[in-house]
Order: sequence, then structure tokens, then C-alpha cells
Amino acid sequence: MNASDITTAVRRPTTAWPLENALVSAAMAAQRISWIDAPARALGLKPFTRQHLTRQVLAQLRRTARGRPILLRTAFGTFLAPLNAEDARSLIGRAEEAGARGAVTGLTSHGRRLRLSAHTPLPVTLASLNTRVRAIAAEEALELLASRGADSVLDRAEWCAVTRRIARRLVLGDGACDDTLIGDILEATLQAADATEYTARVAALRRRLDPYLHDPGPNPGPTPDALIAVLPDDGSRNGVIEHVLETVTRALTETVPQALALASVGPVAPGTDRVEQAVGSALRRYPPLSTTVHEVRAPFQWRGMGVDSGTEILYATAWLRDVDQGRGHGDEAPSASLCAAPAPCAAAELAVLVASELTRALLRHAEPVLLAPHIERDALPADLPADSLDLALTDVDPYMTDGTLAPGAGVLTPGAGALAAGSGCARHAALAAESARSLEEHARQLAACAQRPGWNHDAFGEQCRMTLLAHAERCARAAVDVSRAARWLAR
Amino acid sequence: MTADTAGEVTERAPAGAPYADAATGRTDPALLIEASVLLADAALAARRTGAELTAACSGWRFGVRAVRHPVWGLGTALAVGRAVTNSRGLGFAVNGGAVGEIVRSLGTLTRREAAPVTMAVDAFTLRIEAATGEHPNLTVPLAKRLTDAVVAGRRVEALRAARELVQLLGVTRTLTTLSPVIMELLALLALLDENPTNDSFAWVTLAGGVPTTEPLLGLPRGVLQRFNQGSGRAERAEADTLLARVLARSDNDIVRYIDDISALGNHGLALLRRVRGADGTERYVLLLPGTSFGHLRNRGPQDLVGAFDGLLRADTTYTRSIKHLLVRAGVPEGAELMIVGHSLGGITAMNLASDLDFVSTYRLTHVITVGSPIDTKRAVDPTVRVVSLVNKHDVIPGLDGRGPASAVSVPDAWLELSWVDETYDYPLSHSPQAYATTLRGDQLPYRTRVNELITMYDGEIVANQPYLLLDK
Repeated sequence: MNASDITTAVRRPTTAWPLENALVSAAMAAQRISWIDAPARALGLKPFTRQHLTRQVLAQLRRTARGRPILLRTAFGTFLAPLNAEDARSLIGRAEEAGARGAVTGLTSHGRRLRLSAHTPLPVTLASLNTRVRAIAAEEALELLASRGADSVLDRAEWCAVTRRIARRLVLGDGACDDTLIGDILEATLQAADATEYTARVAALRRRLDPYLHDPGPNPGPTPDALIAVLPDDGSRNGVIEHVLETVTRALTETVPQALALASVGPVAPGTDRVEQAVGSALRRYPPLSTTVHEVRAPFQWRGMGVDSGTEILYATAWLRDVDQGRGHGDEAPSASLCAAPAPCAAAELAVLVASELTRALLRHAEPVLLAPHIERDALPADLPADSLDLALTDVDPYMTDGTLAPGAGVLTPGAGALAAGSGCARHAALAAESARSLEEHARQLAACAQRPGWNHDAFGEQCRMTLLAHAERCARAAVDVSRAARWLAR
Repeated sequence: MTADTAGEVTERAPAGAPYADAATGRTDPALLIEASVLLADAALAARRTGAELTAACSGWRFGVRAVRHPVWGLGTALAVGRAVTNSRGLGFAVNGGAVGEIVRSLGTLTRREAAPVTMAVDAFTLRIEAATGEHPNLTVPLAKRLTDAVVAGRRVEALRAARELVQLLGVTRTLTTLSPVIMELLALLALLDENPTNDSFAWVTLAGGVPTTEPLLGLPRGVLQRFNQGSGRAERAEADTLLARVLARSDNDIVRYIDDISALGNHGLALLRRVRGADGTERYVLLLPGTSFGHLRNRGPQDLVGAFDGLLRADTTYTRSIKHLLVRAGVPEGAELMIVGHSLGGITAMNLASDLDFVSTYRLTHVITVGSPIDTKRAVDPTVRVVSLVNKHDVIPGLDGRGPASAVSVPDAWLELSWVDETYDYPLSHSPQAYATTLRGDQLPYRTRVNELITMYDGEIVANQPYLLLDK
């Protein structure tokens, strides 16, 4: 058999019709416009939402290709798209076996490509990390609660800083607690514009990780139960660390806020764990890797179909899962949303474990309140970007079991109750009430400062005293006015 | 940590202290600063409250609900309106959002009094008064007249006082006299004029941060970028006789580094030094001089436009030309590097330290700045050792807005060493020679202290290579 025989024997993937390509391009473009569903939702025209229309397009593609992978020529590139999750895993798995799988990128809803770290098997059992995961999650949850603002709102930047620290502590040990540059380089590696930049970023990341791996030097040395201390010192250690750091960070920065948002509206099904339900639901509904693109670097065959070198396999995880769930199946493990590998990934399972433990630790002390966007239990949005969430955590019980005030509870105010009531005017009312209290406090502090004997020594000092008293009076008067406005807003 | 001339940590007076300057009987500056901080906090809180109430009544949700419940809408509008316009309370405090900013601008143009602005003005006034304790030249009648006129918003009188002060003292002595409170005076001018676009400069100065506009016209910093364009380039240059002689006796010593920077001048040169340590590792030291004051713009990055650009932004022609220099010189990725910079050179060193690309390419270990306004800048790598050397008579380090009662505080890991020396007038007080002379003397222990921090750069100097930096 020669090359020409192979060429003629092997089937080519079905190519989508031009109209189908246009529809897929439109569906991909629609992902970038967050408000596009608003008119259809406002008019109650659910079949015209992005989610329903995408399902229709996928159903049409399945009819055209008889369920087999289809070649799509879209405005965003040419892709070979498997039309169900099983085919996608099988096709990518075959590419892996044939040594044909090249770079893997994640495709965000905004169309940006993220360069993912290569899947590397985790050579340790999750059970061996359980204790450390729980301890770190409990400790850092208290830090997060303590960092809340006056209205119990979580700051996104603070959230990301703490979650990156959790990942570093878990993987590299407590010595890496303050090494924020690792997370910054990791993020920059994901965002690398091209292969050259990606290579440079990976090299920089490895240089930064090197002291933790080989030469503890000034670092306090690996924590005995950190992942780095239990990994075998072989060639795969760098890869494992990068993959785990990336996956755990992704789960904590994206999935946990989404899980808290879902927990704030969703009822707990009888006999299920609230945390597992929230985290599992967040991962299934809003997979952090909603779409991945797998580059093929050598030709291979899959079920009699030839795939050429240079082809890009598009695994639209979220779309396929949505269609399959609509048809009553879709039984992928939650961890499949965090790693692009076709096989189960232990690093992703570890990330799910850490996400669950952090969510559990937070819910132990506080109740999540989603201030924005407004979501309803029975009509959850098609996408829920973590960075768009305005989340508050109100204390379940401001006093801990030992009678001390819970972290962050000291800054909780009665307005937080009104804040929890929802968005819009109620929230403005709570903020105004909080401002009135703040102005009252400023009035008190200014008046107290004016009473100091230090102003008695000269005319300027006395003038300052009168100025401070005048401002204290204005603050007190303003507090009364603002308090009245807050009451009107709250009505 | 801040160390004063005695080498001790500076602390503010504790609450309950007698608060009187025993020698003069004047109000203690510590009490003035405390009151200034309280007023600044109150001003910011009042402004934030105004913004929240403005947002509450200018959103579409309020409109929809007001149409459905007109009585509630009217009552709420009246209550909020009263709160943001009551002259005995917040005054005219509408601000924030498109609607709020338009109304605020109209209020500024018609000189409506707002409590946040009044409090901010008084906070700045107290800062200025607190500074007079340490800088008695501010009590000179003409200087006092100038600051009083600015505080009162009498700009014509302030201009006259400034002119007379220049006639009396000359430009450099006037600048030096006013330098401790220059940011406060600029902020007051911005706050009290009829131009609403430059007010953010004052609020940022009050809160402690990097201004996003210039203080006079309120032009955004992006405009400055237009005047400082270029990819940045470095060309190998030869050391002249004087520079070669200075470099020949150089060593891993902060005073020697400042001498080297003096010898480099500020006509576009920078120096890359290769040092082979006792462990055989090759490390690099980069010496960056400051601004050339000859022209507003020249063909290199060390000009006045570059100085303002470096102060407000991180990516400048100076940083780009330094990156080019390191690539051109073949400094390997991951190499250990220390940067010593004077004035704009120090700003540039901090800008490079805040650049993720740079610190992930090279292992930046130390940044030593000499007379540089860097307090609002932060290194992206927490392990970079930052040392800031400041002569308190020097005008330039105060340009970051860190006044006596400023909200800006430098990270604990930084080492800030400041002193008062005999070089009073600007630009002498800012010159690298003055810094070197003071550090060379026996009165301050700072030379030894800094040198102990940089011992990893001890070793044989393998090469000293000057480079000419260019904008394009």
C-alpha cells in the first residue's frame, strides 16, 4: 500500500454548508456580546436567546454530518468540530496516542486564546493531600472574610490575590506564600500572544520555580505536606507543578465565586451536599474551559476519517454539554471542565477538591448574597463570568463558638441586612445608611480632635479648633440628611 | 521603614501627648497633621456619600420605580436633593457618573460651595501649616502671602506674591522655599479654580495616589504620552577621559555609584557594569542618570517630557531604551541585576521593577534610587530590595505628592533613608554630587548600611560599558 492508496481509502470530514458556517460564526460572535439575550429575555422570547439558537445550530450540524465531526470554516478560523463529547474525547485521545496533538489553547467567550499548560498526570493520590487542602482552605477563608468591605462585599482583586496564594501554598509550600510574581507570570503565560512569547514566559516561570524545586536557598524550604515535597524528583515535576498551579488557580478564581452565586439562589436538593451541588453545578453550567482548541501537528486517522496536520480540533465543551443535557445525558465528571485532556485528570480533581473545601469553609461562617447581576433560580443565565459577580458574604453568626467576633464581622453593619435584600434602591439605601454612620463617626472624631488642649497655644490653634468644630457640625448635619434619604430609599 | 538623620525610625506623636512645641509655643505639627488626616478622611467620605446619593437617583431603576410609585419617587428625590444641596450639611455634593459629573461641573463653574471641597481645602491648609515647622522659610512674609492667597483661592494675588518672591529670592530659592508644599499648592489651585476637569488631581493628592491628570488644565496623562514617543534605542558609546578615570576607581559602594552617575552626566548616557563574584557568577549593575534640563525635549529619553512621563506612567522611552540596552549587551535571561538611578533614573528603575516582562526576564534584585519621587510606584516582584535615598531639602523626591500628612505610605520592606544637609538651594540640593558628598561624610551611617545590602555585587569588575540612550 502506498501513500496514494491511503489518501483514497481514508474518508475526509464532512464540510459544513456555507449557511451553517455563517450560523456558527454568528453563534461564536454572539458569545462576545454579553447583553445580546436581554431583548429576547425581556420580551419572554426564550427560543430567541443565544443558548436556544446555538442548540438549533448544533442540531442542524448533527443532521448534516450524521453526528460525526464536521469541518467548519468560520470567521474565526477553520476547525474540525466533534458534535458530541464522547467523539471529542475519542478524537483528541487518538491524536494523543498518535503523537499528533500539539499546543492546546482555551478559547474564551470574548474570543481570546489562552495557552494552557500541558496535561501532566499527578503521581500522588488526592487522599494524601486532603488534610493540607482542608487546613489551607479554612485558614484562607478566614482571611477572605476579614478582607470584606464595610458592606460585606468581596473585592475581586483581593479574592484573586488570596486564591493565588492558596494555590502557591498548596503546591510549593508556605515559603511561596508571598511570592506573588509566580501567579503574575502564570497569568501572563496564559495570555501569551504567540509561541515565542509563550516559550519566554514558560522559561521565566521555570526560573522562578527553580529555587523551590532544587535549591531552597533563602526560602524556608518546602513544607513537609506540600505537593512539591511529595512529588518524585523526575523529569515531569516541572510539568506537574505548572499544571496543578494553573488548574487550581483557575478553579478558585472562577468556579468558587460562581458556586457561591449559585448557592445564593439555588435550593439544596434533599440528600445532597450543598457545597458539592454548588461547585458541581458551577463547573457543569459554566466550565472555565468552555471551549478548547487542539492543534494537530501530524496526520492521523480516527474511525476511518483522516485528520490532516495543521487542523485545529474545536472542543466546544459548554455547547456540547448543553445540548447533551437538554437530551437527558451529559454525565461528565466536574473535573473535565478544568483540564483539556481527554482522559480524567487528577490535577483537575485536586482543583475541584480545593474549590469545594474553600466554598465549604466560607459557607461555614457566611451566607453568600449576589448583588449583581440579578439571577433567578429557574432562569439561570447562559454565562456568568466570575469577574462580573458582585458578591457579598454576610455572617451566619457574627460570634464564633469561642465567643470571639468572627473575622470581618467587626465591620458588618445593620445595613448589610438591607444590602442582602437585593440590588437597586435597597442597595443604595444600605450604602447611604452606611455613609450616614460614617459621617457621624467623622463628626465625632473631628469634635474630639477639636477638644484637644494642644490648640490652646496661639490664635491659629484656636482658629483650627473652630474650623474642626464647624466641619464636625456639618458632618453631623449631613449624616441626618443622608440618613433621611436612606430611609426614603429603603421604603 | 523611614529613618531620619539620627538614624532612628520616625514616629508620630502618640494620642494624649501635650501637643505644643515647647520652644516656640506654636501648635504642634503632629496635632496639625492628625487633624489634617481626619479632615481628609471626612472630605473623602463626604464626596463618596454625594456620589452614592447621586447614583441612587440618576439610575434607570430609580426612574422606573418613581413612575410606578410617584409619592415614593417625589419623597425620595426631595430627601436626596436636600442631602446633596444643604449648605449646612454636604453643600453642593452632587458628583460621580455622567449625570453627576455634568451637574458637578456646572456647580464648579458657578462656584457652588461643597462640604467635601471645603474640608479638603482645610486639610491641605493644615498640611501646609504643619510643614512650616520643619521648613521655616515658608513663614517668610512673601511666601506666607503666597500660600494664604492660594488657600483663599485668590489667584491674581497669588501670582503677584509669586512674582515678588522670585524678584526677592530668585527662581531657585523660590522653588526650594515652596518645594515642601508644592503638591498641596497645586492641588489647592486645581480644587479652587473654575475648571472642573483638573479637580481629580487634588482628590488623588489628598487620598494618596498617582494623579491621572496634570494640575493646571486637567489634561489626562495619555496626552503626555503623545509628546514622548519612540521605541527606545541604545547605542554603544565610548567613555571620555573624565568618565574613564572615575570608572577606573569605582567599586561596589553606593557613593562610588553616585560618583559614576555624576560622571556619566545627563546627556543621554547610561552604564552597564559586569561584575564577576567570588562564586564565579556574573552579575550586572545598571547606572541610570537623571534629567537633562537644557531642553523640554531632546533626542534621548532623559528630558523634561520624559521626566513627567516617567512620573505618571510606567512604559516610557527611558524604560524601552534600557530593555534595548540589555538585549544589545547580551545580558542573559535570568541574570541578577541591580539598578542605581538618580532622579529620573530612579523613577525609571522603579518603572522597570513594576514591569512584569522585565522582572520575569531578568532577576532584578536591588533598586537604589537617589533623590527620586518613587513613593507611588510598586515593584511587581516582592523580593526586589528597594532603597530610597532622600535629601529633605531636595524638591524632586516630593513630586510624588507624599506630603507631611499624605495617605501614601511606602511598603515595610522598603528602606527609605532621608536627611537634611547643608545644600539648601535647588538644583544643588538635587545634584548627585551633593548626595555623594553627604553620604561620604562621617555624620551618617547610611553609606555602610546600603553597602551591607548590596554585598552580592562585590567582586571583580569585568566591564564598564556606557551606552547612549535614544528615543528612536
